[in-house]
Amino acid sequence: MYEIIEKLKKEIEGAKSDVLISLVGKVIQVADGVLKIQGLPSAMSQEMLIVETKSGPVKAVALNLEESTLGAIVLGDFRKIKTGDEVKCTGEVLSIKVGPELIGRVINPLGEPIDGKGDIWKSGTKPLNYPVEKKAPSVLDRESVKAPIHTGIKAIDSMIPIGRGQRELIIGDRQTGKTAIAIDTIVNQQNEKGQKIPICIYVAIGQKESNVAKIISELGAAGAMKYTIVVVAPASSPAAFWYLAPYSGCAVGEYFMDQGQDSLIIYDDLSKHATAYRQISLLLRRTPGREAYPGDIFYLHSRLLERSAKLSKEKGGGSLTALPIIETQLSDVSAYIPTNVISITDGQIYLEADLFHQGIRPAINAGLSVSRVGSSAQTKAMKKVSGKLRLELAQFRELQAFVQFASDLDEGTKNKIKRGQMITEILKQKDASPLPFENQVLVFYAALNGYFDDVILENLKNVENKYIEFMQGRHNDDILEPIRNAKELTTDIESKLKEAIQNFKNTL
Amino acid sequence: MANKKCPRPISYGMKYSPAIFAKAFSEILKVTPKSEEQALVRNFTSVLKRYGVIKDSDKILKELKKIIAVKEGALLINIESARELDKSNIDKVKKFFNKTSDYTYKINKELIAGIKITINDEISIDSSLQRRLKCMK
Repeated sequence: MYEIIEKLKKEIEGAKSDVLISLVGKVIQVADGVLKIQGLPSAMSQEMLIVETKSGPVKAVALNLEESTLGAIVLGDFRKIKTGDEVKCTGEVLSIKVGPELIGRVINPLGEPIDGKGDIWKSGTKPLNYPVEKKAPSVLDRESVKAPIHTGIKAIDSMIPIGRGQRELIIGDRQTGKTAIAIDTIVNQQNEKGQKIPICIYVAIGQKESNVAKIISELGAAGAMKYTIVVVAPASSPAAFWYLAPYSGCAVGEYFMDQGQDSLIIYDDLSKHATAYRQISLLLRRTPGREAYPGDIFYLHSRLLERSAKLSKEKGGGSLTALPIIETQLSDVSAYIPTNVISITDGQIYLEADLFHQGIRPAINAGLSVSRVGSSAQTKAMKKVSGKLRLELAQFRELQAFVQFASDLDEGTKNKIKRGQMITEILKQKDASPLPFENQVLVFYAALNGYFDDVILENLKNVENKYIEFMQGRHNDDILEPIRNAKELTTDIESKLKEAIQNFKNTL
Repeated sequence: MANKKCPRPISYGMKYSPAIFAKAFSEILKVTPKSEEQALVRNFTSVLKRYGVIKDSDKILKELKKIIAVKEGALLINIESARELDKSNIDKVKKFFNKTSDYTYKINKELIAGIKITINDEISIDSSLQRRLKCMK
């Protein structure tokens, strides 16, 4: 019993040197989450600082290195900090602990768990420290994007295919279904049988906590939390957290990419991220530029999105696919931030409010949407069936004005219009119902080869659902499975498919 | 020289930091002969009044101390202790530093025991019990 007292005495007296020599600074100004610090002449940019307040240490990040002072943003409650408080350097650049234990957890941008499930890093776990800001992979470390990442949404997988390692922007007005596309993509990853499921990271920037809770419960109900990590910087958190959240999420994604795994990251949304950075820059008295954004607003997003890549085999062959989301105001894609991010990404999925209100959901404008990777990121089966889809839709769009004069047109034009209407109807899809790619191949094959030409438009959705059920029930082994495995529509499978479609039509 | 009868008031828009006032004073002091130092001090005080920064005089004097210390190669040492230090202990500390350094003393009961020395507000030598207990956490 007395041994423990002796041990304690020894510890307090200190066996080793008990003098701490450290570089310190003093807070001379604190307001709105931003500190002005005097001292700390050797502080690094983005270095973590610790402010010793009466109620405990508060973390901060040094952003502005000025001649005699330092500008830092507070990662916590800035109201605990008073002028005169001591600030210490940590010697470390801001970093986050990463490891496979993060999967299924909800964390804040500092890597701390906020889902109430306890500590992430229990004894025995060996987390790595990944820096939040990191240089993107070089040209030689990369490989071209070839493997597809299927969203489960027919309009996207057929006409705007996304590859593993690509950056595809989802852009549209509020309430047009941008987050819905992102969530469907995450949920669809478990439908990719025969392949390892990519690790999905959903970064919620500045969103209402009720919205985030809803998304997490949707992912949980669909069984997607088994391979998803959620990084949250809610609307009530300081601007510093909104600013760091995408970089922290990217660091987590890079960990899995470096392990040779595929990962998918969704930034929802980068418009709020730009707003938070503008707020921080103005408070740090950096010179405002266009629309009061700081001069390096392009670099803010370009350095984030460049970190998504497909690595070469020498570097492990992993990939990080990014789906950034941007919210436009009144469909203005020529505004400052949208044009910046469009020029950085490898394509965009443009969602229109008009299409949404007309009932075309997902409200994807196929004309303005593009994927710069294109069919190199499509399976051979999908390429075969959806090759002419874009062209036919484009022709239909040109003729759409003549739909009301249907009776006065020539046969060719009438057929084009009918075909276009059918394709538009086929591309409609219910929310939260991603379709595996092999099912999509079957639907497109039947629709585009005229098998559904005699079906009334209003019945088409019903017929499509029955068709999928029929195929899944009777032809899973001889048609669906081979397409899923080979990712190709061979002549043999095609002949079986033709017969199966005929049998299905006989049942109608 | 400003008109003593009706000095022009300075608008509130022009606000300079204490460091700038201190630097301005030290620069002028360099070129002022010893006989005119008292007049300089008087004028400087009236300038501070006109700029409305007389309440920040502590900060300006502190900055001035720093500038002079750098010029003379001296250090500004701030010694905090949990209890009143006797002369022998203070002399022990002074032995480590330059004789021309400026020393200020403060009692800080939160240290619990031991002393904490801050040099030029930049380097801290902390051997207090408070820090050791925090590390044990």
